Amino acid sequence: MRTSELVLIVFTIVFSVFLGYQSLEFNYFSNQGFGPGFVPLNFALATLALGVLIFLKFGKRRAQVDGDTFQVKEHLKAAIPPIFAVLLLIVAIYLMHFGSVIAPLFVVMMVISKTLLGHSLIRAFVMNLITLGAIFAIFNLWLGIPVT
Amino acid sequence: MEAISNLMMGFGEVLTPYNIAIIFAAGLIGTVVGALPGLGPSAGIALMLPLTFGMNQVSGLCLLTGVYMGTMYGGRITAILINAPGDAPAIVTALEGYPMMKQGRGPLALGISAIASFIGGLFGLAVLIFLAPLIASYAIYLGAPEYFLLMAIGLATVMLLAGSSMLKALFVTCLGVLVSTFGSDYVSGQIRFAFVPEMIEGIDFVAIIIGLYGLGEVLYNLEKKLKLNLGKPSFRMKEFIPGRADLSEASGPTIRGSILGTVIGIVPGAGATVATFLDYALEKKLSRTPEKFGNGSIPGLAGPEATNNAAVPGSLIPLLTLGIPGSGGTAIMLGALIMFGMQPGPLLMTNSGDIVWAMIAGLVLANFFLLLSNVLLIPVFVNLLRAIQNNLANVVIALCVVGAFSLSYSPFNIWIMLIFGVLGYLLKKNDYPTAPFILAVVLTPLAENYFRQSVMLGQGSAMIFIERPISLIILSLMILIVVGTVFGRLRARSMRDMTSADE
Repeated sequence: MRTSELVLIVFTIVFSVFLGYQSLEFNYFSNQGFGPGFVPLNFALATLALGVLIFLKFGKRRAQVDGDTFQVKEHLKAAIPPIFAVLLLIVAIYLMHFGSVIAPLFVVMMVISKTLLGHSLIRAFVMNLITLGAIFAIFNLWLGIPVT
Repeated sequence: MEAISNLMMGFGEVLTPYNIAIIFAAGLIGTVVGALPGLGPSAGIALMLPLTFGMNQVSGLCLLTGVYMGTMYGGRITAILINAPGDAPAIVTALEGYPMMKQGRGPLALGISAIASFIGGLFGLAVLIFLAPLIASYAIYLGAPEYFLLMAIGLATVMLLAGSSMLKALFVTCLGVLVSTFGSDYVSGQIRFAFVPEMIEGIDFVAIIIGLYGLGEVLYNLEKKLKLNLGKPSFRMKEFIPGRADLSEASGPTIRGSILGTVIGIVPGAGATVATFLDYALEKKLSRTPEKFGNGSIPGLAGPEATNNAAVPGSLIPLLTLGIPGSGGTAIMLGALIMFGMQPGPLLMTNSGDIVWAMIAGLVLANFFLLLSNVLLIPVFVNLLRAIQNNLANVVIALCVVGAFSLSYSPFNIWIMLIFGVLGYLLKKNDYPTAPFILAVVLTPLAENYFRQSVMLGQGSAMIFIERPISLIILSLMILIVVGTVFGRLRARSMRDMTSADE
């Protein structure tokens, strides 16, 4: 099983266990039928069961394929750009709490252009300025959404 | 005749300079999005959703349906020019279109595919216009149990038909159901899992789909390093116009493709991709020169293109008349209808008929615009694609972030978008289907309400689902579909096993 699939399954299982536990606070039955806890509890259990089943079914099969160290390294290397982009976005969204959305977004776009897309500094600056300018014009000036 | 007068009323709403401009722009945007490998109809509609916030219902829906239709036209451009299908249904287009391009008949392939797409779209729309009111007229016979079963049938078929692994499809469906349970429970009034005040009304559907289809695709493409090399094709206008012999060769397949596409589009879960492959196989079987298939055959190009575009209006029939979305794209459309304050389901055409008919009129208009633009503006599209492709990741990231911010004017929904972006990336990377997830997110709140209302109606008994004749019919149909699909899958697997054992 690939590391990324393992991450997906584990997080989903943890999520379903957490929601399943939380749903115990709600009534499973009501006077004439089912209560608000009926769907979350049942589906948390179903998600948990399916997650475990997938783990058992695909875990072994893919372990053999991914057992090759070279292949694992290649997969990890390929996953660096999306992981890097996500980390950049986490920092940028945190900074957006201080007021501006556009400024941290522009920095993210510049870094992605330069490091992941291989653009030159001037090209990255011009392209991202045009992109953000168009988006600002549509959302702020045309639709009146206060994006600054 | 009533359908025609309703359509005219719809045109009355749509034919304003503002709406015409919106529809034209939607067609262009949809074509470009459809042409970009990695961004399909779902991503196109998802990215455009935040733009509809400042619009009225008619303009907003015209924008979304125009983009949906445009993506179906766009997929073929890169498929023909550089053998890189923009979306899954265009895979078949590449099989015949790219060999034509290599033979120097690229403009002819673009011209024929545009005309076939137009006829397919128009046929599907005609069926939508005349069939939808007929189906909707039976809506008065449906109550909560039937509504619940209709939603369950939609979910069941899509889940069963999605992807290579039913287990994975079931898993993402259950995850989608769990995500949809956040926020107010409409039956009891209790609030579930609102860990922060912003979640009292649940997780915003738009933030989910922008993340899943927008950011998720970008992250996946960053990993795969997708890049188009469009070159500098130079075509003359007259080369796009097919001659009489070409048109006559394409006419039969186009008509057959239009019918097949509409019919398959109506079936929830089947979708345009399945329809194009079926039509391609059909055309090859009917052809007197099957050996030409794969080497630039006009019937092999025209039929699937018509099928592809007929499937869009076809898929809108169950959505608008019964509230059943048959694909990821129509599930997002369903969410958009809810976002615009409309109540999807059998009474949609009765309660919001004026808006629905305006939307259908907008689609008819979009289809004409798309034919013209896809013949006259090919060089513009190629240059636009070249410009956007260079910075596609940043364009989509910016649209996702600003779009998510627009939902509540706070960074909260940008966090949500990011979480679902990572989820979308992980799902796509590991071959988990996203359509059942999004369908579950959209349908579960409605289905849960109808289910619990039905059980209350039955005074605590689930027998209500088999005591009412219509619900019994729907239930039987659902069982047939589920059993049929499971048996089909098992049979296909045993055939595969037998073949591999023989080898």
